[in-house]
Amino acid sequence: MKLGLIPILFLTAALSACSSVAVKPWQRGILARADMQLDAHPIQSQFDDHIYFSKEAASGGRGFGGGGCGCN
Amino acid sequence: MQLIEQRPENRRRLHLAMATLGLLGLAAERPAAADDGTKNWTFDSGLLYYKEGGGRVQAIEPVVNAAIDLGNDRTLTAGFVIDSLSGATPNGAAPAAAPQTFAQPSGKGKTYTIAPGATPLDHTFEDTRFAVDLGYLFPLSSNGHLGVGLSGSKEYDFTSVGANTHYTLDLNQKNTTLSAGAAFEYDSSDPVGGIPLPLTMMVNAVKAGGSSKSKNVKDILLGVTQVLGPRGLLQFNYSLSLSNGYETDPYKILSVVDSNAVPQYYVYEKRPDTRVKNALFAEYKRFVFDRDVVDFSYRYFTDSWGVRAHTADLSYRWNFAQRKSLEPSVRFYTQTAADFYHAALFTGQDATVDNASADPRLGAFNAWTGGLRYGQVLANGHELSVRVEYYKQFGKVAGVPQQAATALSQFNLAPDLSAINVSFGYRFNW
Repeated sequence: MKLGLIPILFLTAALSACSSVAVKPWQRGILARADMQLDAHPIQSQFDDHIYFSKEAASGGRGFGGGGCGCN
Repeated sequence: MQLIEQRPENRRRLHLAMATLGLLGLAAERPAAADDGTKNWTFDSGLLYYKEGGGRVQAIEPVVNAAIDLGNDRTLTAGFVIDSLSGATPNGAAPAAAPQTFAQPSGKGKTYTIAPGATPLDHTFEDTRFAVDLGYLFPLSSNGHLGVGLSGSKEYDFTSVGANTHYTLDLNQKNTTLSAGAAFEYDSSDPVGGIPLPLTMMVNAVKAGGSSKSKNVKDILLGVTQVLGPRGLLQFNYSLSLSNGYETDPYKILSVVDSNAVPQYYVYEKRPDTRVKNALFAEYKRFVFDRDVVDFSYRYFTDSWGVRAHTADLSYRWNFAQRKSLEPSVRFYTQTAADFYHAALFTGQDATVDNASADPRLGAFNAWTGGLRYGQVLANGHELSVRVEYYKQFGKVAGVPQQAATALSQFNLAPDLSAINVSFGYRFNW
């Protein structure tokens, strides 16, 4: 039950944070920062995916969810 | 063997992320030196060292990803991974009061013996995997980009080839980006000692199921990324994965026990030959205090095997100096057991069940990860990073046969698992 609330709270918080959604090209300085990319550390994300796919049943979401080896 | 899964999907995900961000006008991953017109190559390299507690699996994994800017918004990418694993992994049998002896997967008459009360681990686990991928990203229109890719991997007992494509479309002055992707993969499993007949008794490692089995995997990914003001970003994704074919782990077995929890014999596991996976994913990222970055993501996962999982991930990047950062992170994960997960089977039950597996990865557990990353941009513009993480699974007992529940309760049927990993990253333009 509690976990089910997480996405709702998350969405509410996120949407309430955006008073002005439309960003003009000259306002993109912060969004263009390397540390503001959705996947700021691709190599380490790749390692994480590897570890968690090896050890857990769930996969996908951030990217494609299937395929791989005969292991899971 | 079981754990060799630096899957092509990881590479595809990266390419898709790159494409999405590029269209959002956000892909400022290159240091400023890239603008001088001569440094068209970007190399992103890393090294992972992973080690589980209790003498279980350890892995060393070097990775190199290269991208070349061909001009006119076109990018060619290539990646290469080597993954070397060794150690001990659970074979699926339950602990017992007397020593247990198992045949090694090779079927050459070699055996290993497990002490009373201990979780049966197969110590012969060892493999090296090589994986490559290629990708090409190019504009289809002023607002749309198409990416195509190929991937392949080879390890001792497993071969995988795949192709993928994805399309991204910018809307609303690049404040909204829609993405859609599809992938196909063909996997071939050629296990050591051959394919066992599922749910048959393990006798001297005789395996009459042939030498090779395959499966197909089809993936679809739909996403939307929304800019939320000059300091925030939100992404939603839905992924669907349809897998058909040989899903069983040829090395896993189950104990068949009597009411005193004494193993009568062991059978090879069997999983359904289809699996449908669904995942909903959301990520929110925000620049705070004019200096730092908060990143939160959540995923809900469910599949046709009865597994449901929640994953929540939170990180805080503290840019404590202009070119230096510290990033603590925490991740929580929980999953329910698959419908056909059994800690053990009761005598005769192996003849009545359609599917059965005692693989702990299909059992129920919670897991926590805590990590700390240090990143620095050097004077020459190169970026280096080091990250340390600690991971721990807390097993939850599930799938215990009622007739043997009391006797089995003396054993730890869902042991915890801990692991530490250290990774290094180095990125530069050339």
